[in-house]
Amino acid sequence: MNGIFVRILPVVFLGTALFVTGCQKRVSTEDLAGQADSTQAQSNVAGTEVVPEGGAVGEGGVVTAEDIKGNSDARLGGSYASLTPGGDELTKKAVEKGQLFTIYFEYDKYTIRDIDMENLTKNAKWLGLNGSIKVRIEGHADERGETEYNLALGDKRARSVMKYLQDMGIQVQRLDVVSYGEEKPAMDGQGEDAWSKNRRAEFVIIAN
Amino acid sequence: MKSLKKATLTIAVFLFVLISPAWGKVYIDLAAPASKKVPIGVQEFKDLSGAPSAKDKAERDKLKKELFDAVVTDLKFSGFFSVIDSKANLEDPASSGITAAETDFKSWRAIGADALVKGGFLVEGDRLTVEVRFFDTATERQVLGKRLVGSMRNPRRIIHFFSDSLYEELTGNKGVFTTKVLFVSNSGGNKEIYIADYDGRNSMKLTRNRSINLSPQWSPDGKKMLYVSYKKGTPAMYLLDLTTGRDEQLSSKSGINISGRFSPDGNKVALTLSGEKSPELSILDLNTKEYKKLTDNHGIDVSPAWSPDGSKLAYVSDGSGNPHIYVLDLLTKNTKRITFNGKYNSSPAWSPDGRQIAFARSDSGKFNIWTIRPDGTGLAQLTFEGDNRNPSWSPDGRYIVYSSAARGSASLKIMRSDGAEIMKLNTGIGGERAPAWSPYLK
Repeated sequence: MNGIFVRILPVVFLGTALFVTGCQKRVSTEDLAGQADSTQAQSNVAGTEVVPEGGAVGEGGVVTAEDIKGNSDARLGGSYASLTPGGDELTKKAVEKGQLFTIYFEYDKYTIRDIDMENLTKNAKWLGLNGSIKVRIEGHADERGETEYNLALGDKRARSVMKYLQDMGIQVQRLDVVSYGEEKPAMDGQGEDAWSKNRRAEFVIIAN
Repeated sequence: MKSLKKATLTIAVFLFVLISPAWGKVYIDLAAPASKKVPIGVQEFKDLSGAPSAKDKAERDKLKKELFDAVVTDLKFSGFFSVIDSKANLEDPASSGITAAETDFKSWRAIGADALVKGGFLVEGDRLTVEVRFFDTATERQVLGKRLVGSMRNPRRIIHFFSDSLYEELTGNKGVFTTKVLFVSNSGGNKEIYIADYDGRNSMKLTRNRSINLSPQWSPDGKKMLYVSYKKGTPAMYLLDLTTGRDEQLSSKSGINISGRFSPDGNKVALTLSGEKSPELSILDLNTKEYKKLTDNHGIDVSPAWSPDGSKLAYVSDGSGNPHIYVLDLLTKNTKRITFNGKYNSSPAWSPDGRQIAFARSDSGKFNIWTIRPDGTGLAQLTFEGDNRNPSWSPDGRYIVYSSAARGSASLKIMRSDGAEIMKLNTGIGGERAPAWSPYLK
């Protein structure tokens, strides 16, 4: 009688087998022979293995993290979506009036392009004229890269912009920086059209 | 020469089998080339408490299906078996029993089954007792039989416990059927973190802060989860105790606090901090709460992966102009670049035996999973279709879970570490990314 395991070589028969754990010999012996009938098995539950329930991450052992109340929903997408309460309306106005411009970047780059220098200089001038305004510079990446790398890339982009503003004389206390990586695209969709609009550093007014 | 030696050894083992008077522990050599799959029959589970009342019948029928499905999933996942469609089964589950004596093995051999799984269950309130038996149909012997008690809240978990035992019986190695996977999904609008069984089932939401939650990672003891969250506005690192629910803010320095990874001894966390300057790697000592900076340059350094002995870190740096994988020796402080091709190399993950690093590489915006040895040799591509990212090894190193996207929708997949036998995880959540396979949990 060649069993299946002869065919899944190599096979070693050790002669003993471990079955229903526990010390109730009768049940174990019956099971060892594999002849115990199910009625007997039911009537004698000693020697049964208990599947732990309250273990580290067992059923019932997993507890969820607490809810943090007070945050507005993070809107994934939308130019002015923000996790911390900010002057979204003010920002909108400033952008509409041509006072604050979003700065865009090349793929996987965090240096400011020559063609964006004019807009960034306008931002610096406007901030210079409105000394009470504080802004948060939000760095973003397009979706193509890897999530963690994109968070770092967004951070680099926001800091490139911040450094330029500091060089233009804007006090560092008026500038805040946050990276959202690829998490908050300005435009949904795939293709260079969307991606080029998502690789950006946005300005959000946080105090005035 | 080598193969001749192996053949001799195989024959020796074979003879030993033939002359062995008893049957018992059976080994499948995991290192050997994949052998032909063993056709296996699985019988519908029997309700050992007899005919249920009309009220209970729907619940019992559902339970029958669930137990059966879990057995089939585990058997298929093991890679050793091909499960015969149960429609072909000849033996009537109603009139036959679940022991060897009550089984007509001839009817199973007739449908081509070389092995057979039978089981029964007993429901007593929330308490669920499951008996599972694995038979060799040629010898008509039971190879493994277990009676397990668990809860009606999670019948599949009971089967996974059995599968761990069976796997160990057959291979001598620990099974991964009771392990779990952490992942991120944005299916509810925001990225939250979830946990599920290794096969994607029994998924459960772990974070509910409605901000952005990223990069879940297991502590080596499987009791805690490290993750990044925007719940207080900026990307900070948190530690959630999975046994108590206690959530602790671990690192919230100015700038980004991201890509945290537990050291193998669980005492440290390697992470990326940008501070006031550039995203650099640091090590946070969990006992002293002190940070030690590892890299100092003007570029990006992220996604550290510890070698299993804790002596090295593989990570991603854009020092050469685009993202590549580097290995930092924590003792000598020497850094060695190990990837030179591909426009974008990301997410290194060290295999549990320390011999390989899995990572995701892209030339076109679509990533694929590759492996490379820590010294930069032995490069191998494992996936070829779609967009595949974030590889994470099973604790036995036999499988890799990763996120896979096609036409914009992401899901999790498991493949064997040589790239074969891809299986999709059905969590029922959708949009799953950034999987992290747990260590052994028992």
